[in-house]
Amino acid sequence: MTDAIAPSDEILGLYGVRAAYERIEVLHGVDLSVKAGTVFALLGPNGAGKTTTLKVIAGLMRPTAGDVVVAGRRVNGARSEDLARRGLCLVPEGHGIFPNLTVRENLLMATHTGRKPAAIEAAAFARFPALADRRSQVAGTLSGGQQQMLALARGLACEPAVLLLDELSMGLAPLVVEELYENVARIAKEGITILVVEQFAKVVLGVADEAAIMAQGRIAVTGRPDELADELSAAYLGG
Amino acid sequence: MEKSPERVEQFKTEIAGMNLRDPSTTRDRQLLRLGIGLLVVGIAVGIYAYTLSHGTNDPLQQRDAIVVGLIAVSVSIAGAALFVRYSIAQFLRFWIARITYEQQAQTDRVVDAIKQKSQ
Repeated sequence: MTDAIAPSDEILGLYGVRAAYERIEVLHGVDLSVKAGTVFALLGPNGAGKTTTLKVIAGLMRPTAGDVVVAGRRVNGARSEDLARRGLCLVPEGHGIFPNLTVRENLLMATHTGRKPAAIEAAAFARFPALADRRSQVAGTLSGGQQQMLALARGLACEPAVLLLDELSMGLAPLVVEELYENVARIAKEGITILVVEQFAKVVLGVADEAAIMAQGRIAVTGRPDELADELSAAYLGG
Repeated sequence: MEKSPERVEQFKTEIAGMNLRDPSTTRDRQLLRLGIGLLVVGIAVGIYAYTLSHGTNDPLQQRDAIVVGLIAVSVSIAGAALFVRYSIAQFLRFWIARITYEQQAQTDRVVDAIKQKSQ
């Protein structure tokens, strides 16, 4: 059992994880360790396996080999809804909001946690004031940045202990991305562990405590953000 | 928002208390294949039962064929249930939840509108 080798301050760990879409293996033995209360950035070019790694952690995909360890326990067979209910929340790529529902209704999807709707709204609107004026607006008509804020707010409404963020910057203007990551930095200060998958390396490294670069289904290198500058260009440009 | 150390401890406790299923990755696929197999076998046995019944004038044999046909229908239903459970059900579950919520929200809006009008 991997529990014994997981460090005591680790809240999330992958050990030799392999995963495949049907017969095509996309993760070829991923090792990753995220400490509680830190921001971990998982970087890499398109097709490196970043989103698949998040799916495996969130329980949306089962690994074909290796161990997924959450809070010291091997959770390979856990269902995504069970993990989410306990506080491992994924904000998926492409926002993942309900476009036909209003901002308020999207937030209230998190009432399964037992929190009162008023408390959920108050917390979300305090954190993202831009959403407060649009609480009755249909979410599909919000700007890309506001939709991403809503997705983040909904993820936070679930009171996560670990937040998995997939490509927050996708399709957004650089200024909006910076604003979003300012929010991520604030969330991190509250002590929520964040694993963020991102192609927009520069911005995310500004808020990360540790980072890893993925390439071709493997972790190529792990280290502090300031140590990874050279490896980044190699991973993206094939150095 | 709770203090993070407390939240982390609560998270660890809740994860430790989780009931985990057998992590076998092939089980669902095997059951899906079993479902398809039962569906096909049920149809084949049903056709066999028809030919059995059609090829004789003996009422006893025809009654046997009816029983075989009923078994075939049962096997097909069981196979279809397995197929649905392990293929599209997982995909549809999320959408069912969404539709249910939207209907609920729509109903609430209508109720609110009626209340406002009656005031």
